[in-house]
Amino acid sequence: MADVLGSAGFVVQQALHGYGDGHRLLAASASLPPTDARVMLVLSDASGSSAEFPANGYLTGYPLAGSAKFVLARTWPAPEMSRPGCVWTHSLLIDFGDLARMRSATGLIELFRRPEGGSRRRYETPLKVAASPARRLAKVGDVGAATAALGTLYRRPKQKVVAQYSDSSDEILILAVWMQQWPRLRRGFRFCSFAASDRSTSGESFDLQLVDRNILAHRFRLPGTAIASITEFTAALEPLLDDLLSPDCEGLRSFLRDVGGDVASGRAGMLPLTRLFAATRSSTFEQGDISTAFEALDELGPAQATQARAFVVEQALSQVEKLGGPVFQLIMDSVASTGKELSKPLAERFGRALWSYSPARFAEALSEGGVVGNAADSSLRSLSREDLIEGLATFPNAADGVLKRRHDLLADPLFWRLPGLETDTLLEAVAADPGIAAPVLGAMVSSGRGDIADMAVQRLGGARVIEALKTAANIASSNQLVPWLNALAPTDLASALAGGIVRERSLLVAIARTTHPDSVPNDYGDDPWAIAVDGSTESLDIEADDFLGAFLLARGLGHRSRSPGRLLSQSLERVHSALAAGRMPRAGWQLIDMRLPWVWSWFEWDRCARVREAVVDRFIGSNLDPAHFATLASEDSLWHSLVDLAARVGHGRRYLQRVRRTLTEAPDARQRERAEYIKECLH
Amino acid sequence: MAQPDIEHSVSIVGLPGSGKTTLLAALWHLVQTEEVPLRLHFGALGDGDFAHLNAIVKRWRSAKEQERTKASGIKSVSMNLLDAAERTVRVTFPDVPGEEYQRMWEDRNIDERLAETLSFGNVLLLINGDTIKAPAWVTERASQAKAIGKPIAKTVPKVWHPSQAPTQVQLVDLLQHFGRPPLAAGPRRLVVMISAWDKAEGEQLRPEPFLGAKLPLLKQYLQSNRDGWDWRVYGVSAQGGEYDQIKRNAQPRPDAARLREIDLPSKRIRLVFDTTESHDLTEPLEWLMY
Repeated sequence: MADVLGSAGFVVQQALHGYGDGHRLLAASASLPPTDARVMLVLSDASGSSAEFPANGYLTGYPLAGSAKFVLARTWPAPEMSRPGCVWTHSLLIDFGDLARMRSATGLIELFRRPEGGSRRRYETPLKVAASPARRLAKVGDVGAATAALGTLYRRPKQKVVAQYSDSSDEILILAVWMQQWPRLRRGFRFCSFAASDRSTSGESFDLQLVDRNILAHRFRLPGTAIASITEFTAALEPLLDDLLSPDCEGLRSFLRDVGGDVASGRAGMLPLTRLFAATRSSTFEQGDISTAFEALDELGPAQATQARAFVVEQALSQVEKLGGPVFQLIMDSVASTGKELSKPLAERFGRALWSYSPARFAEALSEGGVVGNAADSSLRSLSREDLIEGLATFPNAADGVLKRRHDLLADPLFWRLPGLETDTLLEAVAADPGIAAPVLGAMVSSGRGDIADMAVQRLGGARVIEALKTAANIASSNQLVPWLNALAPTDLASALAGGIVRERSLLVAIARTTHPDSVPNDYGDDPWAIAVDGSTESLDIEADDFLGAFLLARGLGHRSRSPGRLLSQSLERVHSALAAGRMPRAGWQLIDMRLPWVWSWFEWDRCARVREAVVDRFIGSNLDPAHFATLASEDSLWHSLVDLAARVGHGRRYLQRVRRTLTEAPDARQRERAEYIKECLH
Repeated sequence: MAQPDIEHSVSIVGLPGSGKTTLLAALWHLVQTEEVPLRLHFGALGDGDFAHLNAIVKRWRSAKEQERTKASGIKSVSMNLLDAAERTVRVTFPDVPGEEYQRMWEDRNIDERLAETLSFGNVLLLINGDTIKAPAWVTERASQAKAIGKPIAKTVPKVWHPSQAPTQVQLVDLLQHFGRPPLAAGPRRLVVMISAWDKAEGEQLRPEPFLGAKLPLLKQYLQSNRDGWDWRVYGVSAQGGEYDQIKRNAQPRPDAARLREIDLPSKRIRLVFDTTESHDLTEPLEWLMY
């Protein structure tokens, strides 16, 4: 890895301080504002009195905020000068921008030069920092010192940290700690590799100072100062130590560089960022890791580490389906706060997960819009009906927003079983869209929501309901149909039957079971029931057809119909057969029985006979169309018995004459045979 | 600590190498030990950096050179002294690096804390009698060169820097600052101390005439009384001779060994005022206070 980003290196300004009638700036390649010049004058002087400074000097690092530069300086003792305590200091002034891009301090260290002789000219021109220095700095060797330094620096972020000076290799540790930091922290980090007294001023504390053992004991045990100790180290800082000893081995410092830009809490940010790194590096990145990550973000503060927050959210979203509970809420809040739209596939996944997490929150997001709302919206189309209905069961109020995009739910019977629906509003919406009325009504019927039948008929009209019942009749139970049929007006039924709309035998049976034989009006034209039955085919349900036959017979024997003969001819044989076989359902017999004339109880048992007699009496008494009498039964024995009954009375015989005339004129041979039978009967 | 009867601040002012720290160390030794008669006696310790004070007095007693005061900050000490009437006088001495005063001349700038310190109290101005940078006359240099047969070198003009100004120019400017904001505090007393007097007395002049001879501009300024200074001139040798250097492997100096032999270190100190001489550094202090 290149030490410095970019192949061209960069330029630094430089300055030389030393003694010349007082400690002063002797040469510089650039001028500085007075405040920064003052800071440099003070910090370029010796780091204290009465100390054996290292012969190779020591390093001091500090920022010059006014000039947006960081000073890395090396100070040497100057025993050759006349006054004791004089020093030389060569300072490199690094632009903050260049400092941010640096990966290593090697290129800077190589530039330091102790002045020799009287010439100062070499310090009056800027210096070029090599892109690829000739050598690399040695790695940190003293793990104990590194552990103590890292632990104390980052677990006591508000305190000045002092550590015992060992030898010149301490510089390697300090520079490694410095270069490990993200740019914003790095440019504010103050350090000194050999301090004989505290170099902090009232406004600016030094973060790390290495101190001679003897001085450490006396001059640095002050409030606000922490002595570096291994006991401060915590397992959470392990990745940081690993990274220090083997730079960027796991990508930690790259991570710090990427996310530290808006972390303004200084050293206090290192521990949570390291925790965050560890949590997001887990190969599974499970709920626990995400919780840990968010705890770390909370430590940093709500307005900090927006990049880190975005990173965590991105990682979490990759497994959004596995999230739940508080973690999902955290993710959702973060997604909302970033304001950055999710990609379409991710938005759909997130929206589905949101629905699963909380339909209430989903509905809220839909109405509020924003990133979360858009994700909810995009996921609506892909959510299954089952999932939607399951969610609506927990929060029916979400139906309004969901239905705007998912009308198809209305055609699902499960939807109509949801509690708390605003049925009135929904029916209004269905009424406004005739195209969906039929499937919606079918769903309503199948759902068993008989309670809304009246409202539905009122809103949508009986014709639409009947149309829906045509389909529903095949799948709905008769119990489900009853309230709907009851809700229909007799005139609606009449129109539907007469109009040939209802052809399904099952629906006819259902209507018959639900209504009175006389309820459907027949004020004009042929009987609606007769028309409808003619247009339908027998079903496989014998009992149902038997019942229908009884219903029609009962209607035919009544006085509502204008086509009684037709009704009787449609139903007699069926009814007679059912009665003869003893299979007529009780409900059917009840309908017929109420139409039959009274007989002595000992004649009640012969139901067939009673029916035959009633039918014949109806034909003769009402002078029904002889053509219908002629086709009253296909079976000859039954028909003959009817003829025999009719021939017993005089008006019956006269009626039969008319029937005979009708039959004689028929082209069918069989009918002419029946005419002959009547002729024989009358003689 | 009981409240003093009188509070005074005496600022020891001087350019780098003028002997401020040495004077303070000698004074502290005098007051602590009272080996010789003093105008002001030790009362009690006051506030301040006594670790620093103890460190410099230890070095002084050992006849070792003081390290130059670092630019890192102003250390201040105060001590309660008793005058002849047994009144408690608290005297505060900021030990300021000479570079701060140099900055006032060169950069026209002053540290806020130093400004606050100098804005009240009287002034003790130290001038190293051995390192006075006198102005040079070009004609004098030329005639000297001619007299000894040395050719006059062709010099390359260089940019003038304030540090090249003569000592008296810098000192007059320094004193003039006391008459202007932010330091102005009305008329004050000024003690001008010519330090390293053991070297300067070879001129065979008393302190005030020495001032007139070596620093005429300064003397004229003071005599003109433009800024209301009430002034005196002393000569002082706070060491009594050359002390040993503190750098490693430095050769010991005979003077230092001799001075260490003196029974009472206080007697190394020589204070000269006009024709009188004593060891009592509190005398100018007493004058500054009243």
